[in-house]
Amino acid sequence: MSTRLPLLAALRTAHLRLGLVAVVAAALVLTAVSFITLRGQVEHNLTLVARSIAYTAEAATVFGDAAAAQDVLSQMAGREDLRAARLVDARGRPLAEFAARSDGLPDALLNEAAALLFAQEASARVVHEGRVYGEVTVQGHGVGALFYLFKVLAAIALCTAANAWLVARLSRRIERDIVGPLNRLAALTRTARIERALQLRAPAATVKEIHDLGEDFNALLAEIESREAQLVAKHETLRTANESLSYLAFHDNLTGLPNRAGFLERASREVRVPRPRGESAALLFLDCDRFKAVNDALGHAAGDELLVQVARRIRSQLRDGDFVARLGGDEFAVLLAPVRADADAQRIAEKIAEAIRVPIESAAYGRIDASASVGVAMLPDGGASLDQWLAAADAAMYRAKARSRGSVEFFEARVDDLPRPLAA
Amino acid sequence: MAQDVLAAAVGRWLLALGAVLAPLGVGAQEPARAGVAGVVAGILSYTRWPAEPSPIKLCTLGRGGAVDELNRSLDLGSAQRQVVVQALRGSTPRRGDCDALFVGATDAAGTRVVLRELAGQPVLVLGQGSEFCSDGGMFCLEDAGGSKVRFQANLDAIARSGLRVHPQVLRIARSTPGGAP
Repeated sequence: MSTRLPLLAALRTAHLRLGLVAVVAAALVLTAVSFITLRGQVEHNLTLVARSIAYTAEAATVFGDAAAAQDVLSQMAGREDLRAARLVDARGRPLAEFAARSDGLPDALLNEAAALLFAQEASARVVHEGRVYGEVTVQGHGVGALFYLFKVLAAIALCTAANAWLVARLSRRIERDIVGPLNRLAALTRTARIERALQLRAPAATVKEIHDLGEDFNALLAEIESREAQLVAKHETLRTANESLSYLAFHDNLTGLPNRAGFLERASREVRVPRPRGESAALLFLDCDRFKAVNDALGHAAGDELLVQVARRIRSQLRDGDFVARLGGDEFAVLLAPVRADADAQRIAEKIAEAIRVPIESAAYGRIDASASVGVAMLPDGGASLDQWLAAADAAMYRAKARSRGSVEFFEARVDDLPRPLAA
Repeated sequence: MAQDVLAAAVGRWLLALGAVLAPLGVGAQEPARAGVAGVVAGILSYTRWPAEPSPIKLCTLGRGGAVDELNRSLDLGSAQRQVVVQALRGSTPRRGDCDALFVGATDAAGTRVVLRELAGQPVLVLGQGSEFCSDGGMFCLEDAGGSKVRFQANLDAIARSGLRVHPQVLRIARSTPGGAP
């Protein structure tokens, strides 16, 4: 179907057709029956009039008294509203004649129409004691019958009009009881779908089925609403869990610093990020000296405290935007960004090493001497891979450790000269 | 006018139909009775006697064309009611001999005697001339010119006789003096 018919139009058309068919069928039957009955009545009536004239004028005919016959004929034909009447004797000679005053044009036309539908003439013989003395012929008007037929047709037209009116009323009622609620339900569904207004509810309806439909729809909405609420709650739980998991995945439990994964993620970003001319980044690798000795001599708890203090001291030396991570064991990495000159990186690295060299006063273990060897590698101009950068810092750190513990060593060689891979 | 043409056509059609349906049409009839015999036959046919006679005995008295016409008539009655005509030779009919009496040309005195004799009896008395009715006759026939005959009725005499005559006949009789053509 190319076009969809609105419910109201469909119902209205159906009602109109039904009503029209009923009225027309009834009207046809009624008209036919009326017409047949009327036809019979008109014919019967004319015959009766003819017979009654024949009877009344019997003696006049028997005696051949034209004056008396004319008297009877005029009187009766006038009373019965005949158009014409004629009485002839047994030899066919006219004894009396009657003709109504000539009709006007409309009457004449009506008579012509009536003549097509109804019998216009009837005759009766004048019989006395078994002998036929003459014959009466009468002509009726038929206009009265025609008017009756018109009345029937008018009644049918009236019925049809009443039917149309009823259908209109019915349509209004259907509009109110069925189509209106359905449209409201449809609008509600659209609003609920488009605006996700799940708190909307269908109003009560008069028609049971539509009311039930609305109720079902409301139940469905309520279910969807509660599901959605559950979904949101579950999503929130998952999000929280995910956040904490993500934190755990990227952070070191002991020091609270980002772990190796966190560091790699940040470092790879630093490598990729575009920088203004004259700005760079520096990578510091730190390795605590004698950590194993502290662990062995004082226990893991002391080692842990050492690591926590080292982390705190590194952090205290950093600027906003700098980044520190514990790579694992006694290794730390620091990202300095932005750095304008190698000297700046060198200075911060020295300050960090200096801060770590201050002996740790532990309530549980007394004085713990700490120091860390630091390797510094600038992010090479023209870009380099993260691996290369890490390897450079690592190499510098090993050189520092080899030279003197707690010292800071700068990576001087060209990055491209490095053997690979070295670290990470 | 078209209407008249149409009505005529319908009329012809109906007549044709009537002729087909009813073979006993008007045209197939025996000729209508006329003259004195016709009127007498008509009056007889509309008269009822206290004791219905069968056949009806019609007596004629006196002379004249009317009496001769009646005496010659053979079909004054009908299949149901036969009429026999008997010409009286004596001056007065005996009681029970006649159910009806037509008085032709006689002397006025004789007529009055007969009328007085039959007064109050169930005998239909018919005569000629209006004097016949004033003398006590029941119906008096008059020549109206041509072959037409008209008649008057003496309602008193009819009422006294105990005969019953159809009112239509009485009406025609009354209308006769003024309105006959």
